[in-house]
Amino acid sequence: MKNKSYILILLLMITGIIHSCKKDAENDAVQTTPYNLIIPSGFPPANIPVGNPLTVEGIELGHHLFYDPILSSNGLSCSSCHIAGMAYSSPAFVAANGDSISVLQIMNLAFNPDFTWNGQFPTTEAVCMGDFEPPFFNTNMDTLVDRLESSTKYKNMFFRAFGNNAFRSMSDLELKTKIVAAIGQFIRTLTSADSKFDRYLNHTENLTSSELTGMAIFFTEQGDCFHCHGGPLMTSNAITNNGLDSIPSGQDRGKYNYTGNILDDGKFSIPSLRNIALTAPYMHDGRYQTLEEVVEFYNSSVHQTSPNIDPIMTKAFKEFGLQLTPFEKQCLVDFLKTFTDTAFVNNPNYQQPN
Amino acid sequence: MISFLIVQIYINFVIGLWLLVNWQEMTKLLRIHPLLKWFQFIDCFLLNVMQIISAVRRFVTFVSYESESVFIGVFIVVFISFKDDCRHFNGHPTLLTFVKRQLMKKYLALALLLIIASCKKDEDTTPVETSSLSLNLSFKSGSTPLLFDTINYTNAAGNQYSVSRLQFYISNIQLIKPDSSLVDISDFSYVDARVAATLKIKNNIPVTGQFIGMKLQVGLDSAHNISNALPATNENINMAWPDMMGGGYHFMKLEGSYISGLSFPGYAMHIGRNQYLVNCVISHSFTLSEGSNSLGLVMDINEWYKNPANYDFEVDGNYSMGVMAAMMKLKENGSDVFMLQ
Ligand code: HEC
Ligand code: HEC
Ligand SMILES: [Cu+2]
Repeated sequence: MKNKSYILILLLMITGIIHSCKKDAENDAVQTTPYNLIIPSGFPPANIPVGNPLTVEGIELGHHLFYDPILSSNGLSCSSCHIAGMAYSSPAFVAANGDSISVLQIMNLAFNPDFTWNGQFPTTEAVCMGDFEPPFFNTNMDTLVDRLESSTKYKNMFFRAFGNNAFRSMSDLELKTKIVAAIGQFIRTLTSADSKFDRYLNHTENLTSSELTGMAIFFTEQGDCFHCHGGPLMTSNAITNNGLDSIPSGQDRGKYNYTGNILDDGKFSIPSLRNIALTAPYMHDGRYQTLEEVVEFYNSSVHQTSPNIDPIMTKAFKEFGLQLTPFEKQCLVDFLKTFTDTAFVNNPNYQQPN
Repeated sequence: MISFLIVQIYINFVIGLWLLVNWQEMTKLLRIHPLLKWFQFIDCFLLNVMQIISAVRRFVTFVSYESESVFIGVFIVVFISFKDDCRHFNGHPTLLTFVKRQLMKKYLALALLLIIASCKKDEDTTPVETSSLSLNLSFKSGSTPLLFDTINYTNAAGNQYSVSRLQFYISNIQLIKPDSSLVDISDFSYVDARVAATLKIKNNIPVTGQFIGMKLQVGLDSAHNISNALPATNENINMAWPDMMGGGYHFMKLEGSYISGLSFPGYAMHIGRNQYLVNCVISHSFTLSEGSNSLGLVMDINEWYKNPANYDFEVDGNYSMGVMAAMMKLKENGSDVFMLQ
């Protein structure tokens, strides 16, 4: 009895190993190298779409495409809006209908359950599909195929990643799917976990006294930021309303705009605060230019009667705002600045490839 | 006998693995704190020796009672060895806690591995005298089943409220036999009332027969209620109780909104910290037979707000985290939130 079960477990382990080695066989008969994503300590397991495992070859292709205006008919590349020095975000972007949308960072997305400000998309691949359209790349697929055909670099890279570089015989959808798959693999490798605050938690660097005061505000009921922006990802990943508007309209209705459910009015996906000092302006529409303005919002301007406002925002003592002193507000801003990860921003593996 | 020997070998292997894992952890720590090198080394070393001695001792006693689920035995040993509480100095974990936390992470991984291994075993061999019990959780307010996000419940204090979030840990489920002795059946589970997959708690039970009730806790016992002690899943991360407020995890988050005059403010009933662990006792006669059994475990949300003392959002406050009186009231009211059916 017992003996049998051990043998079974052993067998299971062996089949597991064999199975994991086989995974990539579904690509048109090309051998790709699995890429081992290093998960920073304390992070949750990575959330990688089943059909698109990380491979060294796919990531390399995605890395080149991310920085290359070859995909667009207007000279833009992903890196025009997602700029390394700004933690892969950039100042607000104006959409075709005149709304301004703050550019989200590309960072720790392997650990994200939903994407874009209102949490509409389940994968980065789904987000990127939209990038071929105006006002983003406005890509002409015929000229894209021509450009890829005449590039030996991309012919080789597509072959290595997908075993297929016959661009002319792919449908538009097939080609786009391969492009976004490669880019998706690349952007999932962008991990940030080495800010001053991380080093403080790992006992390798100290915070100043004002940063420590800010930390105490952030992680206690006083400022109460931790319920939504706590944990290693600095977001609880929930979709909620932090009370920006008393009566949200237009894009400010957030999740409501795609579910049509009145209970989703005003709700947005809580953004990570990692590298927050580098990603101004703030909030989905970029309404605040500085962290001081954001802190002042939480301190005195939360609209307590906003529909579906998160219960955390209406605690009894918050009726008249957090009532932080100017000194405490400054400390909180100082603490937010310790989330900056210069090693991430300067990581050559993420920057423009040669 | 042969199977006993094999088990012994397996245990030796596990202990070897333990040492290996800890050794890496130790050398890593030494690099981080060169000045504290010797203190840490001795600390770790003693800890390990003690762990191993007690593990072997407990194992031997365990085996003589019950040789069926040895894997689970090891799992329990691993946890029992960590029953210390976490002490904090100025919001910083003490060195010892830090070391333990680091070790704990590895142990948890190992323990999970063992649990998985033991589950595999159960599926793949014909079951012998093992029965299982599925607890199917459901929620209501008074006599109305829970429907999220609609204000249609009234508590004893007269607050009309809705529920938008209900997440908690359920730990140490024990069955009560007619002679009042207890049978342990589970460690801990995370429940999110919105997520169907978390609403079934299935356990193998070592005994069958007649029972007169059940004991359980809403929250985590002190061995688990230490920051980063649980695996880093999104759920556990979101239940974290900040180190600055004492560390560990939220035992429960119950949120929604209520009618206050002309407005609809939110309420957030959060409990955490060891002294507010909610002990529930349910008396209910039932019989468990061989094979699979199931019982309904129903939480009446109104019971959080009454018996022995009414909880009124307007008087006791619409949030409880860090408010000792509020958390104490909820803890005490919570002892009868569950019923079996
Ligand atoms: C014209 C500027 C612009 C360009 C070019 C652009 N983006 Fe974005 N990106 C944005 C904006 C603005 C958002 C936020 C959109 C929203 O939430 O509605 C965003 C959001 C995203 C997100 C979601 C991030 C999250 O945390 O949810 C991903 C992923 C992304 N972009 C990837 C890309 C990729 C890959 C490319 C190239 C194919 C690209 N973007 C090109 C402006 C741009
Ligand atoms: C109830 C949950 C909640 C709490 C509590 C909360 N936030 Fe937020 N935070 C959000 C949401 C949701 C957004 C995005 C809102 C939007 O753009 O519509 C946000 C956005 C932000 C942003 C802008 C992020 C960006 O990329 O533009 C900053 C900075 C921020 N919060 C800081 C804080 C601070 C500091 C505190 C504590 C004083 C805090 N938050 C408390 C939910 C919360
Ligand atoms: Cu809380």
